[in-house]
Amino acid sequence: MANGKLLVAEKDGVHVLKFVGDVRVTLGPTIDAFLTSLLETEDFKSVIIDLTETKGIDSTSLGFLAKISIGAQDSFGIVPTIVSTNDDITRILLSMGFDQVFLIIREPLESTVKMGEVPFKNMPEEDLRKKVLEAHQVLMQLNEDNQNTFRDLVVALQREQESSTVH
Amino acid sequence: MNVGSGELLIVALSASDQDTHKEVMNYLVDSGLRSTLVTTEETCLTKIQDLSPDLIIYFLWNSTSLLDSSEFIQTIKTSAPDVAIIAIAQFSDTKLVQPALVKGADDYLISPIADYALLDHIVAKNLRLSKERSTRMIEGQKLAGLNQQLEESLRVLERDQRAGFEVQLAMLPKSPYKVGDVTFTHKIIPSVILSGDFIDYFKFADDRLLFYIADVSGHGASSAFVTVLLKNLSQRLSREYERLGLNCTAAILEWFNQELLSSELAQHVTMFMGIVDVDRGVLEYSNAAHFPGTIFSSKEKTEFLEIGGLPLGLYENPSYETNVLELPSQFTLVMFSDGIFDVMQQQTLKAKEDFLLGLVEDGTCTVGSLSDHLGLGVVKDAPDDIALFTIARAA
Repeated sequence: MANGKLLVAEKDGVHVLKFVGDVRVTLGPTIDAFLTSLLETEDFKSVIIDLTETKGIDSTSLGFLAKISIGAQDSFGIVPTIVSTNDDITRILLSMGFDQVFLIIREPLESTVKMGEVPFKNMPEEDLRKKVLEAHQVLMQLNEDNQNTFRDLVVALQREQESSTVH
Repeated sequence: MNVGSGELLIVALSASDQDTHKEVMNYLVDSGLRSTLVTTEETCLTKIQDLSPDLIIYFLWNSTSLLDSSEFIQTIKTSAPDVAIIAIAQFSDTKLVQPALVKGADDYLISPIADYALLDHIVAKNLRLSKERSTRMIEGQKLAGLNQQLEESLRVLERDQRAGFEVQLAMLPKSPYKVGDVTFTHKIIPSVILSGDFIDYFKFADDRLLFYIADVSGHGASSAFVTVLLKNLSQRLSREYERLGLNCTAAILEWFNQELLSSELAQHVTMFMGIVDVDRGVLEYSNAAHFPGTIFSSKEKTEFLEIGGLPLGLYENPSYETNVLELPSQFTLVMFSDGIFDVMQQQTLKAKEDFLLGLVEDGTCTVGSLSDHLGLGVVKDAPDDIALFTIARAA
C-alpha cells in the first residue's frame, strides 16, 4: 500500500471499513481471509464502507469492495453502504457500476438533518432513510474516538498471518 | 592490563632511539601480544604480507625534512588499509606528529613513555579499531557480493519478464491495422514490464469489426497472465462466433464474464467492447466498467460514450446494455485505460476527463499525437499500465 491505510471497526454488528489516503492493496490472500471471517461473524448486521477520507483507490481495492457486496448479498441479503463525499472517488465507484450493488451515500456526515433528501432509487424511501441514518450514526460514533475504535486492517492481518506461519 | 590479543608489527626505520624500541616491544610482548620488530622498509612490507598485523607501531625519527619520517606511513596504508597505526615521536620531536597523522597514522604517543597505562589504553583502542575496520571490510565485501548476486538475479528476472512481454506483444493485434478505410492503432505502456492492459480486434466473416480494450485489476505478471486468457477468449470468439450464438456486444460481455468466472481468478477485468459495422454505418457497443469512457468524435461532435456496467469476472449474472450509434463517414474513437490519469497533472478526475475530451476535440486524436501531448514518451515508473487505442475512419 502506497500512502493509504485500510481501517476496520465493529459496532453492534455493523462492520465499518475505512479507506484512508491513497489505498493500493497488494495483500490479495489476506484480504480474502478477512472477507471470509467478516461474513462468518455471528452478529453480522451490515457493512458500511467509509470512503470520505479516501484520496485514491486502486483496482484491486475496488475488486475487494465488489466482493464484500457480493458476499453480503449472498450470505445475508444485505446491500452494503458506501459513504463517499469525494467526487473523484464517487465517479470511480459509478464507473464500476457500484450504484447497482451498493447503497452510495454522497452526503458528508454533518448533514444528518437533511438525510431525508438523499435521492435514491430501487428502495422504499422509509427503508432508505433508516439505512442512511444508521450508517451516519455508526460512523459519527466511531469518529468520536477514531483512534481507539479503528484498527489497521493490513497491519492486523499481517500480524495474524505471521503468527499463523510460525505455528 | 589486558590490551587484547593480536599481531603487532613494530616499525623502527631509524637506528636512533633503539632503547625505546626495545622497551616498548618488550612491554607489549609481556602484555601477551605477538610482536615483530622490523627495521627496513622492505622487511616491513614483507611482514605486512606474511603476518597481516592487527596493529603497527611506527617510530618517527628526526631528519632534515619534517615529512621524511612519515612518508612511509602512506605506503603502509596502501598495502594494509585496515590496520591501525600508532606513531611514536620523541619528546623533542613532537612537530613530527602532525605530518604523521596527515599521512594516515591513527594515533600517537610521545617517548620516552612515561605512563604505560596510556600505552595500554592506546594499544587496546587501536587494536579494536583495526578489528572493527577489518570486520567492516569483510562485511562490506560480503554485502557487495550479495548485491552483485541480487543484481544478477534481478537481471535474470527482468530478462525473463521482457521475454514475457515479447510474448504479450505478439498476442496484441497488428498496429496499425487497416480494414478498408478503418484504421486501428494502439499503444501499451506497462508500469512494470508485463501489462495488465489488453487490446484486441478482428474481423468477423461478415466483415463486421469487433474490438475491445480491457484492464485487468492490479498490474504486473499476475495481471498479464489474465490477458493470455482474454486473448484465448477472443480467438474462440473469432473462430466459433456462429456456434456461440452471441448476437450483440452485451451477450459477448456476458459470455466473457462466465468464462472468466469459471477460471476463478483473483482479478476482475474492465472492458469496453464494440462492433463496427461499416456496411450498415453503425457502432454497437457495451461497457463493463471500463473507465475513462470511450471518446467518440465526428465533425459534428466529440463526446464520451457511457461509462458504468459491472466489471467482468466478479458477479454471477450481470446484465449489460447494448448501445447503438450511427457512424458518419468520418469518425474517430479514442480509448484509454485508467493508468492515463496517474500521469496527468490536473487536480480532479473531472478536469482530467475534460482535458482528454478537449484534446480529441481539438484534433489530437492519433495514438502518436496523443502520446506526445500527454508526455507518454518520457513516462517512467508509472504506477499503473497505460493503454491508448484509436479507431479512425477517414472519408
